[in-house]
Amino acid sequence: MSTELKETQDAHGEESMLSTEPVLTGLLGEFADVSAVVVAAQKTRAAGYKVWDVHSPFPIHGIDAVIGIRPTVLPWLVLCGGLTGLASGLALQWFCNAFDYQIIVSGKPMFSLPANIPIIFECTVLFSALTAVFGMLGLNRLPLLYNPLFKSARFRRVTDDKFFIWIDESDSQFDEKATEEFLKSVGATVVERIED
Amino acid sequence: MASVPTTEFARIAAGIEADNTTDDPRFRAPLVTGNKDFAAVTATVAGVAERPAPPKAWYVAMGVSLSLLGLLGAMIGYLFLTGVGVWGNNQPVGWGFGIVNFVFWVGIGHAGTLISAILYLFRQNWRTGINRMAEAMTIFAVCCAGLFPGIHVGRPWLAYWLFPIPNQMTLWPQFRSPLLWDVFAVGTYATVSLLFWYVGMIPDIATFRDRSKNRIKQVVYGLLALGWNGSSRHWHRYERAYLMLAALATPLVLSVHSVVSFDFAVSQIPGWHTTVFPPYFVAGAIFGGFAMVICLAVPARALFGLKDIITMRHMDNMAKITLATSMMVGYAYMTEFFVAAYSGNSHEAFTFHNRALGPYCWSWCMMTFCNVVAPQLLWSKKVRTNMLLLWIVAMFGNAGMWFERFEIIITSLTRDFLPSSWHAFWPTWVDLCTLAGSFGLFMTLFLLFCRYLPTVAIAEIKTVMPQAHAHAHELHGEDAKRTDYRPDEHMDPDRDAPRLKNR
Amino acid sequence: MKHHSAQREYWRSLAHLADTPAVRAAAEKEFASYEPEEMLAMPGLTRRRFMKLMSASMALAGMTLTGCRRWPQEKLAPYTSNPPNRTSGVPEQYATVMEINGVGSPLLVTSFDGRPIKIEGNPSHPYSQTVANRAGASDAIAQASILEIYDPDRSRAVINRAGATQVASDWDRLSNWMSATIDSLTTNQGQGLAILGESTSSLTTARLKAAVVKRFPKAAFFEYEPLSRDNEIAGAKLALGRPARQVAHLNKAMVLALLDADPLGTHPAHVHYAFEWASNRPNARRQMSRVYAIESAMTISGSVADCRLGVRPSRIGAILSALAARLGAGGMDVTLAPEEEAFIKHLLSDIADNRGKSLVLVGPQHGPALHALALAINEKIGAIGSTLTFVEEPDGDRASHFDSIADLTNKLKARQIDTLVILGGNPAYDSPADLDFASAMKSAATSIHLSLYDNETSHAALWHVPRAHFLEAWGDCRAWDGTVSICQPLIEPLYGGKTPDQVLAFLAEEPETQSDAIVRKTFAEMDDAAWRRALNEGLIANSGFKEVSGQVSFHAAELYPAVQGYEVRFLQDSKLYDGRFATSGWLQEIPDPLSKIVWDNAALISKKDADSLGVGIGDVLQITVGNSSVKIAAFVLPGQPAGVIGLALGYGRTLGEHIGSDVGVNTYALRSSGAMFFAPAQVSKTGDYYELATTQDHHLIDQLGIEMRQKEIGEKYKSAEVIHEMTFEEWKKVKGAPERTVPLQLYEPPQDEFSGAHAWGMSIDLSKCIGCHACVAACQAENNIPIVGKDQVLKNRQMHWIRIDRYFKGEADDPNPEVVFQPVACQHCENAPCEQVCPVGATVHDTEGLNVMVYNRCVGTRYCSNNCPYKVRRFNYLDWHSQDPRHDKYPKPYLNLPDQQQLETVPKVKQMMFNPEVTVRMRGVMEKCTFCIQRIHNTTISKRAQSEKLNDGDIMTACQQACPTQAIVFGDLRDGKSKVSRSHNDPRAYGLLDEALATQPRNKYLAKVSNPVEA
Repeated sequence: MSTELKETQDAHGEESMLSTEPVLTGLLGEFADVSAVVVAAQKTRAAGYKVWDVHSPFPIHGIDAVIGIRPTVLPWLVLCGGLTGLASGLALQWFCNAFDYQIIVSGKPMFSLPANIPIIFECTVLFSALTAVFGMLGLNRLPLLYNPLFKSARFRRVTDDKFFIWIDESDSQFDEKATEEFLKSVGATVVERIED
Repeated sequence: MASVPTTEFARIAAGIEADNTTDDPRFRAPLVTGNKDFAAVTATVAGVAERPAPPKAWYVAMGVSLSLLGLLGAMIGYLFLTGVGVWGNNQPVGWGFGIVNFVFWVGIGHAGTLISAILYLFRQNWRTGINRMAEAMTIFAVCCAGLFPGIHVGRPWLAYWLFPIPNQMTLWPQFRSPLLWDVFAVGTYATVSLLFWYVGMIPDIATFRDRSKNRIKQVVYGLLALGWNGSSRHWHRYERAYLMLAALATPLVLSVHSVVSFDFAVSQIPGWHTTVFPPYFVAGAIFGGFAMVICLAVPARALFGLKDIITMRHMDNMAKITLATSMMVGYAYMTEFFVAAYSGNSHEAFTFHNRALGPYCWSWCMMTFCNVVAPQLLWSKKVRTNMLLLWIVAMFGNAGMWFERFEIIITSLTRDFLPSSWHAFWPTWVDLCTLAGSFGLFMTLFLLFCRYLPTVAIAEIKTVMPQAHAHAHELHGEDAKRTDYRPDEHMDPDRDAPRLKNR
Repeated sequence: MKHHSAQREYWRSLAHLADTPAVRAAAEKEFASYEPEEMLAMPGLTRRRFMKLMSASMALAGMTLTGCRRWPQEKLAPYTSNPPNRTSGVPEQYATVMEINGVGSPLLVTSFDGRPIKIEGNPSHPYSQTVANRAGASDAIAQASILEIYDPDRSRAVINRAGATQVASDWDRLSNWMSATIDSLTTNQGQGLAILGESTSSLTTARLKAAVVKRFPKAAFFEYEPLSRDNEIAGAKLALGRPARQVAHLNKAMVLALLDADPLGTHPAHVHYAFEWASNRPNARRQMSRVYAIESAMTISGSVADCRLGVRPSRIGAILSALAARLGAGGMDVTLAPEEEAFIKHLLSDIADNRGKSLVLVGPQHGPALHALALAINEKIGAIGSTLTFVEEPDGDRASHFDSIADLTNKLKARQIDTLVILGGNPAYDSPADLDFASAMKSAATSIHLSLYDNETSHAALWHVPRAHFLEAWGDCRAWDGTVSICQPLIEPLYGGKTPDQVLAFLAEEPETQSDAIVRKTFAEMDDAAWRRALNEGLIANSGFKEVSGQVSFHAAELYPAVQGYEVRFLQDSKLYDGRFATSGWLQEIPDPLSKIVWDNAALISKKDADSLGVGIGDVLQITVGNSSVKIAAFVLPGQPAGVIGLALGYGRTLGEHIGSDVGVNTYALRSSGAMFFAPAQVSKTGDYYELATTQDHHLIDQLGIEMRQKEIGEKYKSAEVIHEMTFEEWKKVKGAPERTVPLQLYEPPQDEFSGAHAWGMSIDLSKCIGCHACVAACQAENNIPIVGKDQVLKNRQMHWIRIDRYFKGEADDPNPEVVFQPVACQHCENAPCEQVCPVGATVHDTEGLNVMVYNRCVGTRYCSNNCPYKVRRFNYLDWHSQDPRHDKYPKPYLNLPDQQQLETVPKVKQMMFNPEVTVRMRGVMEKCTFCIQRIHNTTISKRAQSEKLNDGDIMTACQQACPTQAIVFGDLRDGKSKVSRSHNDPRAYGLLDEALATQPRNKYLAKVSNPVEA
């Protein structure tokens, strides 16, 4: 879903380059509290909108189910990252001490797993953590420093105490008037046109 | 929305600090007091950075910290131009203050990630008030820790040889050495802690971005916020990533000090060569770390008016953990002596005899008093909820942990196997100034953090406020079928009324 | 003058080759940056001279710090023609000899590109030979002479002190002045000319003295040595009716009674005596000698004796007299103290069982009568002719040294002497205090002092004349047995010194002025072939003193008056001798064998006296002898006899240059004519404290520490972890190979890793080690080991790669504790604990089993040192070669690249001393014993090049070579017949801490075997 959102935003980006006059990108409905926005979200989904999203100052519990967000693939990426770290940690130590430059140390074997475990572990954790963070950012298409939403002064309170439902104009059901009415009807205190 | 009892207003008006430390099974104590709504929470936290000028105390503290930092720089310069000989290290005592300080600071650097990660996994919601500050403290402590191994080597300009970098001689590091494990463990820990800290801060930096009026701040915070816009899809992946970071950091935080303890446990010096070290060091690290968080939180919450967010309950819980870990440390001390006596190894037995009664018995007494005896005061709730007393006990904990490391490293090295090689260690003025200077580095970083970054996890703390939860009766559809509600989701704030009234 | 930059001085010493003021001036100015044009433009400087200067200079400049990682910028000039018989970079060895107190120690000097860098004993000489023609043993003092020749503090110019103002002068002015004086002397046949010399056995000096007498019949010769052995000569004269020198044969003595005698430590022939002594400890026929020591100080000989009794010096006479009486050698029987009685009872029975194999020796500090009595005893017990022989004493009828100096002083005070020529020595410092020689000197109109250093005597003299070091000059002298050795120079005099012979030749108006010609003339009767052989072998065959025999006549012992209070005993210092070596940093930092004190002397006092005075180590005592007194810190030394305060001589130099000045306390102040070796004294506590630096047991002064140390050592003795011991009787029973009990190991160490062609190993025999520290000095010279100074020793940062651990067995107040010396260097463990913990692999094993230290890989974590159970690793906490060993409490920062530091700060002259085969370590790196890997590889490579087989003993470590008793053995363990393999299989062999830690050391100790009396 976010994919579609992204594409449409890109499309508008191109247009805005061609034509200077502002183009409507979607409608933003503001809600006062969690319950209101959750209820509205259920209705929005029921109304059959596809390209829409809920913006909130903090993760609203249950909202995933309400919007119908599918579980992310991130954990699998992290697993792969971890395995890579494990393998490279082991390989590094084997290559350095047991293969590339063998030196006699304390009459110990050139390669002995017990001495290598700590570094293997650390590499596993390191790689997993890096995958988790950068995987998350990548999947979220972040950093995304330009976003038409940021033009709205009202939207700034999304990081404070307000809740928003965004319906993108690329949605098949999107119709400026009807959608605005719809948002008002589900309890939006204000509905704002967002242009780009 | 939740209706709030009027008595609470009176209490705030009267400036009485709300006591939310009692545990009454009938209802859940609030983690944010003072009748805060979302906007108020945001305002309180952001206010610290937004106020035109920080309090006088901040300037005073900053002045002291910066001069200590300068001292540190001077000492390191003298050290590099002259040699490790300016320190007190000598023939049997190859490691002196350098490594003592390293282990001390690494230990301090454990509470942050522990609070963030382990308490997060255990769904300890009270962590949200303090985790940001603790994480920051972790990062800064690890900075100080990382400094010392680098400067304590004889030829610091070659310290990079500890990293597996190919060189013209195709020489590689020697991976059997615990010091190399340290490089990886501390390096990983620093990286993961930094990521954990930053990822947690992204939404709050976005808050700062959206609130800041001045252009420079908008740009800087805007860049740091990476364009965060609170999308539910973002929140979904964000929470997953954060959960996994927590799951990864938990074993990591336990491993780091275990690996540090290997520096000693893997060697064969009597008093070092013991299997109890990893758990013993980890417990000690958590103890010292929490002590340090308390030491910082007590003034910070007063200074920046965060008493309603870092509440009594937070301090109380931290005091309890400090007490628990201090008992673990005490147990470890006893185990050491038992093993030394029971093993029948004359070297081991002598080493511990020497620790308790030898020329360095003062350091052993300091350690035992500060880490085991003094924290017993925390059994009393009066002490736990009296910020001054709590702070003093915590300070004892910090000092005690430093003496523990001194005592472990120095006493074992001064008198090991061959009596002919025994020799005492005494620090030089350079040793002492360097130690003081490292506190300068730590405090400088922390003060800058308090001034310019969100000292409390704003977004997270909102999730543990009653207002953060849609009431079930207003939900239907598949959401109504959910059973994995967090216990506080359906908390009815009205039920708090009787308790708050009858106080 | 020592404030000049070292480089300038160094060049000046070269410029001296072209002895014209122009060159000297130009050299001062220009040589530091040599500009060929300017040099050629100099007046009187031919191209040939220029090339000579340049090649010489390059030979010297070529050897800068080989060890530095970054190469210095150097301008090089090639040899235009290679000098014959010299390959640059190939070390050569020359035989020479060093004379102390009239006795020569034959040496073999290694020269590298024209600069002496290492000293060994001369293996082909009976007096330093140990294993036939292989090793040449030596002592610490000989080893340290390498440092002395390159000492930048040595005097560099003639000095005139007319009117007490120091004027730098030169040879021309001096010779003009001298010619004038001599002319005036010739008129009155040398009336008023006095020549004071050190004791010497030089034939050349004797010849020149005669020549001087021929020219100045009225000239008077005097001779002085503060540590004179004249009592022995006089004793022999009493007994035999003629002066004679006693030569002991300790290898034949199965019972050895030492009454204040120290043949292994302070005797001029101690290197040879130690070797002979060791041959019976125990010997190949499974016999073992028994040594009885009755002594008034803790000496090396006493510390390795099987039975020891500490007594007051004044008791020696009584005990000897009783001994004589019981043996029927005359003398009157005196009543002895019970412990003395018990002690000599055993001695007497042993002597009775070992007729002809026993020997009684008395120390030189006791009067002639005691020596005569001892000879009577030796006659009686059949020692003379077997364990003791007599040879003639050269110049035996001269006045004793103490009479001589007194006589000279009186003559001076009586103004009978107007020209005083002092050849070497330092009488103004070390002559009897009551004479006040320094002021007496002033009464001579003119005085000249020839000396290596501008010292106390030079300052009292009108002229100071720089003396040539024995490695710079020609000469000759005779060993204890009289064998003549030629002293040949290894290098041009660095600072243009002259030898005493040159001065005498000048006085005698000999035609020869160069020292080589002067010496050659003495041996004119030798043809060139014989002369070259003598130079080559370092000795003239069969030139020893003639044996003398004679009937020993009995003389009654002089019984010293009993002393109630304290007695002081003046001791020859184990390092500084009589103080002449106080300028040597190496010797200052070599610990005293027993007290382990460095950079100081102390009042050695027994535990009993310390308790009664209420003092501990470092508490300052006031010691008064007669009406002079000194303040000196106390050191409680186990084994020090009660009532006796031991005072080492040779410290407290006021003009000992940078190194030697103000180190310790000048105890000569208490030493007056009547009582030169011991005297009654008053001792009191001052309440002051003075910190003494020792290399062992430091900072354990807290009582608990001491108690625990005692306990700990006790336990270690019980568990036999550190020292394995057995008595001779037990040893006779043990058979077979040593059983090695090691704790269970996690895995079987992969032995195939040590797959090299050799397996190097070492063994150290604890029953042979006498703790003389020759090995320490040899290692220091061989491996470019720096000194660190007292302040750093107090921090326990001394750098010696091999140290000698000294353990006293028994309680702290035991009057006669057993002493064990244990030399500890890197044990080269096969399971080396140091290697595993090094993060960069800077210390690893090679396939021949050596634990190698890779200096340029070391980053200096010091983890290896922590994990070394033997604590043999040494860390360069500072750049020791660049640091000032005196007063460096606050080390100076160096504002350039650290690895340039030595190049810029170490005086060029000192850089000449470095052994180019061994890296000079910079600050921040760890170092340790390498088993002299440079020697191993040089030998193996050259053997391979000549496709010869490597024989056992071809490779010797520096410590092994220097060891007089051959306690140290090194070799290839793969060769089953090698000495080291045999000693590794000796039932006495054990690895230090091996039972506890399973380190599998490549160095094994052989348990100490002692031969005590069965109670």
